[in-house]
Amino acid sequence: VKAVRKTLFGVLRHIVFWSVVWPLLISSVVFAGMFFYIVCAQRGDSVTLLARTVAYATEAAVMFGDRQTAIEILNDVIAKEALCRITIYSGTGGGHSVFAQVAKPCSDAPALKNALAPYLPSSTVQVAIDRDGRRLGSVEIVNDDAVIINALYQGGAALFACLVLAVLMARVLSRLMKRRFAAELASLTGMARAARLEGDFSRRLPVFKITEFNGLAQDFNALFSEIQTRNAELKLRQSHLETVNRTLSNLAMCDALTGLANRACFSEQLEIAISKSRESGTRIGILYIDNDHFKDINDSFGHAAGDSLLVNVGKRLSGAVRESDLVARLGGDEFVVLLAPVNGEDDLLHVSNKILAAMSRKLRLTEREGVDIELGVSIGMAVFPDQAHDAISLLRAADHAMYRAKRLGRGRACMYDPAIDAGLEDS
Amino acid sequence: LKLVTVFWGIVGYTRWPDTGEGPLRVCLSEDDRHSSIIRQSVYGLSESAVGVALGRPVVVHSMPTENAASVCNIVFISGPNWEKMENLSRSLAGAPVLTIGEGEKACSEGGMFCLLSSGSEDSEGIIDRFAANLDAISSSSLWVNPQALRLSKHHQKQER
Repeated sequence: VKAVRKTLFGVLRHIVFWSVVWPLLISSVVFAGMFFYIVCAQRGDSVTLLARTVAYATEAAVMFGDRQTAIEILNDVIAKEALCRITIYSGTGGGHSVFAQVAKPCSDAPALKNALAPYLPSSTVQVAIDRDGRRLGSVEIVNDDAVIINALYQGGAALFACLVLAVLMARVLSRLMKRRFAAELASLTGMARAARLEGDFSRRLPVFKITEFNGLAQDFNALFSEIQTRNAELKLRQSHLETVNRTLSNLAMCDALTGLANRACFSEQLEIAISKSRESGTRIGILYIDNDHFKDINDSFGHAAGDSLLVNVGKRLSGAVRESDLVARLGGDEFVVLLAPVNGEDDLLHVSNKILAAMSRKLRLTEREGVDIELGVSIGMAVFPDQAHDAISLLRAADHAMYRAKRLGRGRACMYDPAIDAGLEDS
Repeated sequence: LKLVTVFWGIVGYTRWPDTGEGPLRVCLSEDDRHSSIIRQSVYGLSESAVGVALGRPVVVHSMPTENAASVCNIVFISGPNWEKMENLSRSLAGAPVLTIGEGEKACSEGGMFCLLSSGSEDSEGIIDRFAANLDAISSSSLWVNPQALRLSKHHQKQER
């Protein structure tokens, strides 16, 4: 047996429909039976009454032996009533004879009559014509059953029509009920689905007319607003964390004194620049810069002066290079500039000259009025991939070049030369 | 209609105020045919339908010359003797005596019922219809069942 899954509404509709139709069918059958019984009984009663009336009306005619008047009366009656035959017997006891008789053709008996014949009341009724308790004769009436049959036909048709109407109404009602349930439940499931598929918790259900659904809907609403509030809290906390994170990473990447990138940041950016350069085949250059007089100034004017020197150098370096170039302080009085991309050694020389020119102006210390200090720097230059194969060797090459510049008399820039500087390294 | 049936029919529908269970006294003329037909019918009365309806014994008297009210319950005056009716009805006025005559004159001269026939002498004992004189009936102390009046033709005074 194949199990068919039904919808809740289908089942409800089914229940509503049959709960209307079944009692209706049962009551219809009972009603039809009662109707049949009452019609038969009433017809029997009315025919008996009719016979009594005829007996009363024809009493005098029987008494006077007036056949003509009797027949006139009978004709009157039979013309108006659904009867097949009226007979008046005169005389008493066994010796009675037909005094007057009228008849008309009975209506055609419908097919139903044969089926109902055993249940119909007797079609012949006989009542006595009495005078002061003494019998003059009797009236016999043969009833036309078509009256009952027609009444039953009409009653049956009316009942059937009512039944059909009621069944149709039951269908309509059950549909309406289904629609009402379905609309509320559909919005409930729609909301749940939207929450599951799209993470949309902003929807809210309206007030439902059905108490149980309404309870569920309000619970859903409360649950959703809770989830929404919690989501908002989480988002807020996350953005806060992100802000903190960014601040922390800034702290990690920046030199607190000068605001320039620190060694960690520089190493990262250098690695990135090198891998880009490997991909695209362009060159990058670095300048290794060391302050010539930092130690002296620090010793003679104090740390504050040393700090302001470092800040000033940083500013001047940043002013001398392109926006895209990175200026970093590696620590102490050592700075480095990453130039990416460069065409060749000429570019580095050009930038170095710009830096040397920027440093030539003296710095007036604000702490000690009237004291000007020199910001002389020595610069070592190296180009990747011409003079080094990775970040460390490139930095080392620039460092060597810078030491050569210092040795040669400070305040100048030297390009790395493996022939000279590599040997120096070995020694 | 049979004369006998109509005659006893009218009698059957009539009630007298004083006579309880005693026999009904019918006063008839001696000499005419219709009176003798009624006289003969008394003997066969118990078997007929009207006899059953009557339920009382019947005694026949000859017509008294005077003081008919004390002798008769019913008076029948046959056709030719209608002129007797005038005298009789005058003497019987208001008395509980049922007066039945033959011909229109019988009703117009104060009789209560009159039996009407087409006039052919051959139709012996057969009449066409009968009429009732409602004035005479209502002025007497008799009670006549309306069923009898229903079948009768009501006599109209202006016919006189």
